[in-house]
Amino acid sequence: MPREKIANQLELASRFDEVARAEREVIGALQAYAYGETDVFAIKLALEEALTNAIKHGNNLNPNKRVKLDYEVGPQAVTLKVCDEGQGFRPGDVPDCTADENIERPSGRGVMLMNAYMSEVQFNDKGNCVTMIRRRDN
Amino acid sequence: MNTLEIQIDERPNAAVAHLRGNASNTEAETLRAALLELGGARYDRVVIDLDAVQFIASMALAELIEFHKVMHKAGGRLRLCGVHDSVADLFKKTRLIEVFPLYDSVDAALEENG
Repeated sequence: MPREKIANQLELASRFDEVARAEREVIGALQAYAYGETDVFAIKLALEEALTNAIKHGNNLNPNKRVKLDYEVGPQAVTLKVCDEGQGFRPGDVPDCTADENIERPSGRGVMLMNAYMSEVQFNDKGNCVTMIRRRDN
Repeated sequence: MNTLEIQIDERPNAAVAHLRGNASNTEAETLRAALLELGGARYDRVVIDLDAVQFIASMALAELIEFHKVMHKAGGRLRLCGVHDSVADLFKKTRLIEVFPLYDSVDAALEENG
């Protein structure tokens, strides 16, 4: 197990294939700390949803805009920060996808999944950066 | 493994789609194309076998919901089976388990009436 936290910043193009590259690197760090399947599933899902939102809704797939991922993996917790170059949004305005009237709506689950699988989720005031923390599942 | 492979197995009045890999957001288009091939009216029942799927994300869920609506409109039924614990937990958290009853096996999903 590493002595120091594993941390890095990645700059991604606004393309979906960049998501897999970022996930590979973060999952590699999780494996170095022997995180279990439940943690890996949760962190991969939250990261995928945050990056997809940033690329698709934040940067509108604009090839001139970038997405930044800062991650820090330690023995007991993982922190992910995803920022795009878009106008931002208000997460409180996203309809509750678990409400009876929204269950069969195809879209709008990304933010809910991030909240459901991470210990803490915090957006900045502009709404173009999200910081997520997951504490290790013991 | 980041690609999603889909194999279609035709049965009498039914089709079984065996998915293998990661049903990530990147792979949602692959899933959409395969489900479009199955159409809404071609089969009374469609079963999606998730036994070899360890991960599913929101855009793939969206494709399943869209296809569920297509099948329902055509008078057919969509069933899911072989769902791993982590994926089943996601269906519970999103309440999609109320839309998609989960079956243990392909045969159980095909046999269930209603």
